[in-house]
Amino acid sequence: MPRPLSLLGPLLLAFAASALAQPVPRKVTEVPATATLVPLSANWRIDGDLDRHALLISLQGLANRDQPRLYLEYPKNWQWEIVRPLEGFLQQRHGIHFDRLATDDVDDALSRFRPQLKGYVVWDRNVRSSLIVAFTAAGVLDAVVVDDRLEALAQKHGLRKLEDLRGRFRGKSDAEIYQWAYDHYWSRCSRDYYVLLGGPAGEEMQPGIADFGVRQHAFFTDLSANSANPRQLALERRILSQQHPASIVLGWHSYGKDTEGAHTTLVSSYGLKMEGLHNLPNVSFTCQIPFTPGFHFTNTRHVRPGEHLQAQAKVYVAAISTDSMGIGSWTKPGRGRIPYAWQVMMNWAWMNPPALQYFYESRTPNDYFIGGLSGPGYMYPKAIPAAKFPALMADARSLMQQLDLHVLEIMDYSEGNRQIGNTDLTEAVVDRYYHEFPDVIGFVNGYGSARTFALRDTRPLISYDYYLDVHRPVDDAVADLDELMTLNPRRPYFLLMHVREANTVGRVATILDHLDEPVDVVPLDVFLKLAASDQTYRTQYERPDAPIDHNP
Amino acid sequence: MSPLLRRSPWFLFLATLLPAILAAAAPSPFVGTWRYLPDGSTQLSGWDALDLVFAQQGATLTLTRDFSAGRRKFEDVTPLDPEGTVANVRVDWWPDNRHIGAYIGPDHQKQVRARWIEPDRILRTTTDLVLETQQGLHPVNILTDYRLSPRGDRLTVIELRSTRDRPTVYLFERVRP
Repeated sequence: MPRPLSLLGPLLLAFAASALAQPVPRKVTEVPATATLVPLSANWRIDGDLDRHALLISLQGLANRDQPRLYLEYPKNWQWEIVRPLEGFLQQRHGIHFDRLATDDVDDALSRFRPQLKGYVVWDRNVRSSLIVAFTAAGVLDAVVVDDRLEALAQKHGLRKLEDLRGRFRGKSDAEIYQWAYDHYWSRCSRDYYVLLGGPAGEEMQPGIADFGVRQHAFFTDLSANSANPRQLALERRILSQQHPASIVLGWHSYGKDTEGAHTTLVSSYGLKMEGLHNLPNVSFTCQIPFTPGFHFTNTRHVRPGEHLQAQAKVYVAAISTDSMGIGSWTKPGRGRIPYAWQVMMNWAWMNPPALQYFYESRTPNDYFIGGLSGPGYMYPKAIPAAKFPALMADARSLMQQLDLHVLEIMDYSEGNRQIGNTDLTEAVVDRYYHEFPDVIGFVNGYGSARTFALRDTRPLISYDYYLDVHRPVDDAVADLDELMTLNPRRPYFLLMHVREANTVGRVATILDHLDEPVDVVPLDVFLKLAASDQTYRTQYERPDAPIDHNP
Repeated sequence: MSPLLRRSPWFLFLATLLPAILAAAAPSPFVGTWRYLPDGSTQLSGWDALDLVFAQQGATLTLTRDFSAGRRKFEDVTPLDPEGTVANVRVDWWPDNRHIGAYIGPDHQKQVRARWIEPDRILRTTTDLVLETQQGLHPVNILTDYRLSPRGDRLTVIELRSTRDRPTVYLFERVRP
């Protein structure tokens, strides 16, 4: 008979794992037949249309609190190119009819969703950060954000002024501004979602994720992780340290204050999950849309579980596109021409279901999905405290199982980036991944090139040997790959290439067609099985004397 | 000048050494800062910008390369002795192509020989180093020509690596103080 304690252990573990998961937005049982659609102009400047866009985005977060009612059609040059394909998907697969308003029509939109509002918050056009504070207040007070130009319109709709930030922050530093916001709103904000509303700095802002943040009562800042800004960094640490374990940091770092590497390292050091970007649109709408009945995630498998493949004396190439599906080349011509792997944003399984269903249903036999990035969200494993690692990776395993993913991509910019420092993994970190993911086909590592390689049982860990820059001319890229084949003379040679977001599949195919030595371009699952059959790469981990740069 | 004087050992001595003395005293036209010009150049591999800074001490030039990409910066310094001394230079990092998985070998060294193909117009360096890749160590030889334009305001750097059939060509313009 099992002892009571031996039963209690797994139960406690299960509880601990489930306690880490953030509250999942409720899905509607019945998708609405009609929703309002407002197109947005391409002007995101403070002296341009940002005030109207900010109002509409805050309105969207509130209108969509309990039902998906308002969808914003972002301009065609928006970084997330899937806004329109997703619109079509929602129409065709869910039968949603979009009632289209005029571009930036805040008046009509306010009329439609007035019942969801309690008032308005005024931000100060002379102090950019006041808009970020206003988004926090909007979520807490159920208010739309307006500047002085739109206040009369809000009043016309019978809205009351609930907060006025005009003049309050003049001459104040961002550390002081966000401290004020912390003192006044933090206690009423979510501990499951925090929004880092960075991205472009200065006169432009692209707050596409703010609707979801407002919906979730998130606290907003664009605080710096740079030690050159100690007061901002201290407040950022204070905020992150109080968020729930393994909760979500939405958005992106500020391009004007710090680096992606520095901020993601900071977030990872608290065991939290970064979920980019600042301009990810319409999540307050899509987070409530369930999968269509009968839908299951099915990846394109090219090898059977347990199947053994034997590499020949040749060069094998696999190409992977990361940088978030939806800002890459998914919708560009050429997809399907060659085998290609795509890194899936795994949290979209619960945060953005229609987007993931759209990708899975529109894949070709040559499209292969992999998990990432380093875990359940964007995180750097060298920065994650070892004690927090198992629970996070249990979350990742669960998502990978749901999404039929069998390869995990790892990236770590905590000690460098693709120019300087190193992006390698220590042996201890590699040990953790092998322990936590016993059933994967293998791992890939890097962003630019890296030199961590391993093979344990049948699971290889292969780092990128090539980074295809968006602007790299075809001839130079061909010469780069030819040079790699010269520098790696043994065959088989396993050449893993990372394709930067906006490169089209057609461009990659053209480059591979022009190499001096014939290569086999294979699906990633085949590539890893072959790499497991003949280890011509040396086992390597981060070395004690590796250069380190903390991405200031 | 009298034929007698022309035959004197002093004259021969001066005639032989004077150009060298003058050359040693006059600054090389290479000295100064040169800024990478994207138009017409091979794309920098992983970097946005590159400055070359030539300094001179006696006959020896020192070349500093300042690479940058946004907030990231990297600098390396190489002494160039056109009189033929081979310089053993410490290499912390191989910055020349950050798109490919190739790194300076474990010895962290390169051997550099420099010579004038045409004094003050074409400087050629020959560099030997070992790069490390996923499969191990690979010796690499690099020929680099630094060619000054007739007006002295442009520098063309042509580089050929033994591992790469396609040469790289970088154009630079002089940065005026």
